[in-house]
Amino acid sequence: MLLEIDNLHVTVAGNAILKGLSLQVRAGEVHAIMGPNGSGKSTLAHVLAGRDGYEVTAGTVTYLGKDLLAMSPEERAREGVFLGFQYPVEIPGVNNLYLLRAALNARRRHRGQPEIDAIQFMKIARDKARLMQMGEQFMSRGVNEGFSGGEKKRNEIFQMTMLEPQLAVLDETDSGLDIDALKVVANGVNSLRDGHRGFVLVTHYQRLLDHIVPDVVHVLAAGRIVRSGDRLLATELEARGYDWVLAPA
Amino acid sequence: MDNDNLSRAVGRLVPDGDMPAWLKTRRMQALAELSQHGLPTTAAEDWRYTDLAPVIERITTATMPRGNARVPQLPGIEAGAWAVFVDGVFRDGMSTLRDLPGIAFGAIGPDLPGAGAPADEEADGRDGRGVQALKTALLRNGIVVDVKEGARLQEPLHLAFLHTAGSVAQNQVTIRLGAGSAITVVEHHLGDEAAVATSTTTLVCGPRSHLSFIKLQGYGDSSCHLGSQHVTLGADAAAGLFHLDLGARLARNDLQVELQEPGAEVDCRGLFFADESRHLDNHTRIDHRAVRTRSRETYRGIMDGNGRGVFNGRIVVHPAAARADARLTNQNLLLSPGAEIDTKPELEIYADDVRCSHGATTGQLDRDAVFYLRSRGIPADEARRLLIASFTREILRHLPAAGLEDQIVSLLEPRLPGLAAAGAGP
Ligand SMILES: Nc1ncnc2c1ncn2[C@@H]1O[C@H](COP(=O)(O)OP(=O)(O)OP(=O)(O)O)[C@@H](O)[C@H]1O
Ligand SMILES: [Mg+2]
Repeated sequence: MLLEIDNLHVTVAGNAILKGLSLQVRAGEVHAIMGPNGSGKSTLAHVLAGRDGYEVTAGTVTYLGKDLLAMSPEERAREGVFLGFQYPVEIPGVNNLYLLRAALNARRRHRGQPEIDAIQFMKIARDKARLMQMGEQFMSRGVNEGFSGGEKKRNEIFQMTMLEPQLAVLDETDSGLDIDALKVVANGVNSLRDGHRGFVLVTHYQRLLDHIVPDVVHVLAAGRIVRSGDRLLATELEARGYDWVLAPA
Repeated sequence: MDNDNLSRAVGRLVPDGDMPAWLKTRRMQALAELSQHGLPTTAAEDWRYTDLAPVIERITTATMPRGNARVPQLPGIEAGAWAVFVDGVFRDGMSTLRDLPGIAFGAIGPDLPGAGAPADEEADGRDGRGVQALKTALLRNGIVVDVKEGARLQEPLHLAFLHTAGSVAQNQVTIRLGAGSAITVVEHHLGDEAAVATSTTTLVCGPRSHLSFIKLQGYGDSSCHLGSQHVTLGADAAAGLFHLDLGARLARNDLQVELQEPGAEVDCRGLFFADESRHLDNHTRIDHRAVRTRSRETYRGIMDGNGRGVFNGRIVVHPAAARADARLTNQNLLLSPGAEIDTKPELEIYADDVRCSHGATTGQLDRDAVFYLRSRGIPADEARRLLIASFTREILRHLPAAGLEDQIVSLLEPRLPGLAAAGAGP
């Protein structure tokens, strides 16, 4: 099992947000998580990445057999967990490529691999940037500095293709993308699908799932997974909304 | 009583053998002034947050400098010519400013601006009466540099104010820019164990001249420093000023800029980094005295450990300065619970039809940004370093030193780790 979340309870500032969430992702699978605004999707993504301010009051998260919750955010990243942010942060003054190379080398050192040199790095970065249709000027700016909403999302996926994570949690990476950009982003994700990596895609739109075909679709509501199904569930949600899933049986 | 002690102690620190008569007279007057009024106390509004007790303590326990004391090395910057001062005494033999085309220089005399006359009321206002008296009492000599009319120097002029261990000394330089001339001046303040290092730099910019001026304050952790710059700008003259305030136990800088004639403009920036138990005080004052004058001022402060920062920026738009345009901001980062900043941007407007704004912000490192970096595998302390470096780079990219930026950044690297790397490419 790549990721196993069991009965996770999380409170934020004293409010219970996740209330007994369970989810299993096997190697190679793509899981989509849909659900109403405020249901706890980003909370789940942040808890998986280790952001502080979230209190886990019960439950466990096991990643490749290890206790994920015991690791610092940087350890999780080096172990192969990647979070694509719903709202990527602008960090002017820290060069985009500098960050990426530092991130890549942190991961390589962690695995006992030699650091990558600047020339080799640039070659890979150029290839991946081409795949993401990102101009060189984006790469050499500060992290997300002055990027449009869509460019920030594209940069998240660019980073992901560079870091080649084992488990990628993408929080609404499709929101705010135009139709062409959506395809580019989907290509980026699909380029990493190799039967071993796992993906958790948080999305509001079935549209993304036309390009990245999920193995399982879940509905998260009021802090729990209330329904799971195949990709047809997404189509049905798109047509009928959430009411029918949320209504008591 | 205490003031008498202070005055006597200052008097003992300067050998008066080789001094011109006018200077001896000035010194005697300054010592008298000092014994009467002493140094400013925190009761004075301009000195409210800066207690000069450590300065007094170092002066009263200091001894005359020994001849064989180790002199700090000049920074490894290739470009430009040097005017070197050791413990406040200009050293012609160590200096290379003769190599600079387009300038002339000589010793300061009694009639020159910045020579430290005790009756200089404006200087009193700038420095506080007692500080001005202290500087005059410590004055040994100084230089005046004239940049010839129309001369546009390609190479920078470095002023090196070097201090040996335990020294108490005043550095004094006047630079006058002829009409249409241009020069870059970099002032290096160095001395790991200087006791009290003071300085007065007077910069007189003629019409249409262009001045770039950088002050690098890098004294050692036990030193005290009191510095001032007085800049006057003629018609359509422009100045870019930058203060990098990184060293010393206690440092106070007073910058005064006078936009004297129509069309004069100034861009002032500063970065102060008060970590450990450093106390760094920056007072600035910009006077708009003529029409169409323009000023931009941005200071950034970083306080860490038990560091204390003080920023007071004042802009005065005089009645004659219609259509003045002034903007002043101060942004601060507090990195630890023990760190402190007192900031006060002030605007006084006595003219009509002006565009002025001022403001200050103080905050902590952006937690979202720290998490973003950590989520990419960057360790927490490294993430903090990168963000601090990014805050400093934002302002350092405006260093008014054509071509010297990288060398200056590398001089700062030991104090601000990660600075060079973060902003560069992979
Ligand atoms: N720091 C916080 N303090 C208090 N409440 C919070 C905090 N962060 C999140 N919440 C609350 O937790 C709930 C879940 O938020 P979350 O961001 O996980 O929702 P989401 O499912 O991602 O919503 P969306 O679809 O709008 O992105 C919301 O009600 C939100 O207001
Ligand atoms: Mg969300």
